[in-house]
Amino acid sequence: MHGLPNFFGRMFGYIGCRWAALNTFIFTTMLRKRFALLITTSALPRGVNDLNVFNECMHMVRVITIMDDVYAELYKLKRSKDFSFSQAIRYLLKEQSKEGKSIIGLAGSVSEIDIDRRAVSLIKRGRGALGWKNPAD
Amino acid sequence: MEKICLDFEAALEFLRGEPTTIEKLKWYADREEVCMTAFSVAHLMEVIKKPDVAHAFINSVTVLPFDKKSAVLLNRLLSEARERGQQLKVFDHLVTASICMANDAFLFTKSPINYEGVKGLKRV
Repeated sequence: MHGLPNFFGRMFGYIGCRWAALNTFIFTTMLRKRFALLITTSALPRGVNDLNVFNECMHMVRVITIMDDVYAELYKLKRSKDFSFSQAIRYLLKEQSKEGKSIIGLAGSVSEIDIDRRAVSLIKRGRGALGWKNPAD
Repeated sequence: MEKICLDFEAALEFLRGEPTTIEKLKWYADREEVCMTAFSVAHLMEVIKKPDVAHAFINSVTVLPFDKKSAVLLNRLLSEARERGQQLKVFDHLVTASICMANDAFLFTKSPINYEGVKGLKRV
């Protein structure tokens, strides 16, 4: 029979915690004179204390400035893949890291017989097929 | 993220499987942007008899072009080398150096001696 008061007690405690967290965030943002991001109580994570909530919020969102042409290209990618901007940037970062790994995959993929030693020697002496001529000659 | 520009010899050593070069490049590939000059790319295609490997490698790196800024820098490097009375062993090295400098890239080379005396060139 004590279940119902306990439930309401928890509910009010929970709401109070989140309201306090929101106030702390707005107050600290005003103090720092930083651009205030609109954060609703529903964005706050559950089960953490006020200070942690504030820290979490500061790490959840960042404002960046990008060039117009970069924005246009990013927007194109966002639309074509049905991404959010964060997802589009994350996708590009993932592709970039894949690129780095693909280089490593090519290590040792050429053996001595696959290399034209004569051409290498000519290039090292500045006489490759591209036709560069040593100005000192 | 910095640009790490492989010269022709470093790229060739990597493809041949030279352990030190692979180890270093692994480190850079995870953190920085790996590049090559357009001329090193052309040289690489010239010497490797496996076109598919050469193309795969080229597609995995950023290719830095020889542009107006590089041309102006190359001219400056040539004049400086002449003033010092330095024998230009290979003209290509100055081209690579000028492209690196124009693109604010760090040069990754197996033969630093080839680039000795080049002022303003950053090396790794």
